[in-house]
Amino acid sequence: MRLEVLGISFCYDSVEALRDVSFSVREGEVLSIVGPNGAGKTTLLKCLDRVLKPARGTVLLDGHDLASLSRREIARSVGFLPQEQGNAAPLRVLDVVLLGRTPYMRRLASPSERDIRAAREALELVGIGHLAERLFSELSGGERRKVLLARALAQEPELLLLDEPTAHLDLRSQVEVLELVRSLADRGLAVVMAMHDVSSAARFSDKMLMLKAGRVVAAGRPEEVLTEEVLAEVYGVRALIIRGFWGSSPLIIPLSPV
Amino acid sequence: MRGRGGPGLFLMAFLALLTAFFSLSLGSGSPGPREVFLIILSKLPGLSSLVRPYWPPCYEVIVLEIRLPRVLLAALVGMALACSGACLQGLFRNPLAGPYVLGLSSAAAFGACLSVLLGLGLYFGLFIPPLLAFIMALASLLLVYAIARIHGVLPTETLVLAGIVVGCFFSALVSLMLCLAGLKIYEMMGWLFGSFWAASWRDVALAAPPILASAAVVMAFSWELNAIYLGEEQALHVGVDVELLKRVLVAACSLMTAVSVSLTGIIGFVGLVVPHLARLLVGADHRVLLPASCLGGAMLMVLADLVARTAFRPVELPVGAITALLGVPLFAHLLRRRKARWFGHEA
Repeated sequence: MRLEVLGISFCYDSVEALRDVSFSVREGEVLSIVGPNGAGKTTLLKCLDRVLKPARGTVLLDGHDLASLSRREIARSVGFLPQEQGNAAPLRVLDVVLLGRTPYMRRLASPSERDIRAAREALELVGIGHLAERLFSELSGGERRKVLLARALAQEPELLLLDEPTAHLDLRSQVEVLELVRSLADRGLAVVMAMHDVSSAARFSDKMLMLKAGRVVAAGRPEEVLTEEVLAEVYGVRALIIRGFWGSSPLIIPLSPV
Repeated sequence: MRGRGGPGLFLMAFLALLTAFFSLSLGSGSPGPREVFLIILSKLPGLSSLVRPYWPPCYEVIVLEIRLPRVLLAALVGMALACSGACLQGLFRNPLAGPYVLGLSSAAAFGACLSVLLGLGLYFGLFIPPLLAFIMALASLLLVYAIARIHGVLPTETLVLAGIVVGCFFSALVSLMLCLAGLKIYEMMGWLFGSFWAASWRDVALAAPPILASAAVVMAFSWELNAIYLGEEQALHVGVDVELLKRVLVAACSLMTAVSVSLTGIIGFVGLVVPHLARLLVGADHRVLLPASCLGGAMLMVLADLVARTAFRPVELPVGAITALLGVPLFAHLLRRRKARWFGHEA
């Protein structure tokens, strides 16, 4: 799977949210989108599975224009973990994960054995197999995020889009989820995730895209993107950058506003 | 994978049949349960030779021409209102949604009252009030669509608001007409309260095809309704064409509601609360919830109509009031027992 984003722009009514953003990701790679609040991270992710339609530019999945694919076709290759937890529907957790099988199911068909197996495997992969029979509405915020991640994995995607995958998660769960994401990429998925925690983003990503006000300010390997100058310009913060702690990926400690 | 839904649905179907039989066996005139059973048996193909009629011919007329179409129409209308209520609550993720949320009932009331006011009765073999009610209901739906549509999509909030506004407009017109009606006000009130007193086989034949077809369409989209329960974007992420879903489901719900309202008048409560009752009993999964709502709506409506026509014979009570009187205590009881998780809340 190769995702190519060619010069996309997006406007909410009159406000320009993205301007001329280009990048590419291929199987085995994790790309993190970082940037301050309102930089356009979520908007960019939503343009990548066409929940939002860019005003200009093209998104190519393995060379196919996303605009020419049906929603079902998109959902078979792209899984999405949204930032919002969604309406707390009183559905069984397993049924919520089974919703990820929608693009493979025929109308009026009940989920097949294979669908149920895929859903259970996704739950185990995220480490919440024990929650399968609980009601989604009775889970904590962090547990719901994991259920929605399992739902995205049940889609058997080639491209995984994650909007703040660590939000609402406790420390251990954060590391677990990011390690899972890394191992999924190592097994051949392409991953794009929006992240607030730049240090974690750097540690688990191959590439990084720094956005400010809808434009790409810096792109490349994490150690190239995360410099004192870029952090000062984009976040307006003076930061200490510690290198050599996790291999080559830098650890960022914000010190004070510039 | 239907969990506890399966046995619950069988039980409800059995209870619905029992209610219908019970309702057929009671009423003005003498046929009792035994005669009703045998009369129906004698009309079934292949079984007629087993039964020797010992009852007067008028019994057959009472059971087959008066009570049976009335029970069937009540069941169909109850099913239509509860089914579209359950569907729209899920589609709009709003527990206050019901079959009348898009203003259809007020528009239909306007159509019916207008034809009463103008003295339009039977023309060319067509009874004008229900026809005009139906036309106005569909016209109001188009109006609501036109108001709510933004850049080719129908945002849910705008759709509901447009429905409420259009409904208010037609309600105001109905109030004006009631003031101008003079003695015709009684005819209008009879329609506004809703009842099954005039039910005939012709009504059943008019109601059954659109209602059964619409309910089938809605149930065919149970899975997508589950997906949209978590939110519209969430449904998009798993491959549901949300705009198409909204169009198809709103059209199906409106059709069955418009048919019901135009044939029987405005009957409240069933469409709003039966889906909640069903949700408490069988859970929120639409694959079970929709059939349970259909059965529950049919059952409650048949029961309410039975009370409406027999409690103070020969006076007929408004069936809408009875549905509420029967349903509210049941609903309140269940709500108290399970109030913690009766409907999803925004996280």
